[in-house]
Amino acid sequence: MVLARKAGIRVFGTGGLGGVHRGAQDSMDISADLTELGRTDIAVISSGCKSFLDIPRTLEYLETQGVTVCTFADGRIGDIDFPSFYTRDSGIKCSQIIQNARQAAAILGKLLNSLV
Amino acid sequence: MEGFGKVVNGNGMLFANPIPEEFSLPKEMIDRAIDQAVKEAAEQGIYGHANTPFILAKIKELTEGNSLPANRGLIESNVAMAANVAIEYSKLLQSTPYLSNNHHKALYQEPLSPVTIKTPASVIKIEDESASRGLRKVMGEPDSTVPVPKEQSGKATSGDAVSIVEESTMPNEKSTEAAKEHHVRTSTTESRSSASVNSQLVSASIHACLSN
Repeated sequence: MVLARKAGIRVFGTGGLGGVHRGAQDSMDISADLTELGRTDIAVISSGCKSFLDIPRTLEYLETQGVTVCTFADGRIGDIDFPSFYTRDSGIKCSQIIQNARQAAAILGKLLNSLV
Repeated sequence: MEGFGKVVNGNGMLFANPIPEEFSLPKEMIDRAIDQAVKEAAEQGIYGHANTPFILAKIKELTEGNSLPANRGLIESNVAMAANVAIEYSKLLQSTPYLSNNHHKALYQEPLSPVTIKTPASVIKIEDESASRGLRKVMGEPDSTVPVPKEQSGKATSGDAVSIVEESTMPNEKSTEAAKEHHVRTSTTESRSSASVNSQLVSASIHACLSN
């Protein structure tokens, strides 16, 4: 993520993001990519975070780190879940829904513009 | 980066792209496999770095290999979506001049000679064509303490020059030293240095730029 950003890459596609591991309240096992995303102005496209992670805590942690989280509707209407890697639904609703790549780019542009 | 530079360093964003329907696995199946895998990892005391590979391998085993095509399918879909977002973002940059300053030039541009390396204090012109070959534009961190001269940003948007934006106001020791070695002719009136340099200088500058 950092190297991509340093090389001028603004959009980063990957499989799944890391997250807060189950039982993190005891183990404190939280993937480093969450904190990194909180301080690197790059857009990551992933299929949510892996479903063996604690998704509600992961979303809370991303919010604490100031990371904007949006989910692509991909043809769905109504309440849309944050995806959990192998499945489209996780049981956890995502509050920000985007319809297409253009909307994602517009949000990215807005964020970057606010940094100047 | 220190001081104000840190402040303008922004947050990232996550665009979650659900796995394509045809690749998605039944939720009960994957939930069962995950619960089992997490349980086994805890029982065997597998934590930290070893945890994720162990669980993924276990999931693959418990889903009888069904997780593999799912994995491949979702990565392909994400890469395609990321490419689309990058394309839309580049269109946005082109249609929105105020976004198109050097800090936001995220797109690869075919390197063309002459290559211009911009530093806050000076502009070093590379006349050696071979030095520019294969060189990509390397972007520095947003640097609000150094205003980008209008003519330079205009030049950068036209796509005819590869520019390396040095990150901070600190004189870049490596490139300065390298420039001296390569007999930089300095024109004080324009505060520009023009010199024939070889690819060593280019790589030194890139290295310096990246290591900042």
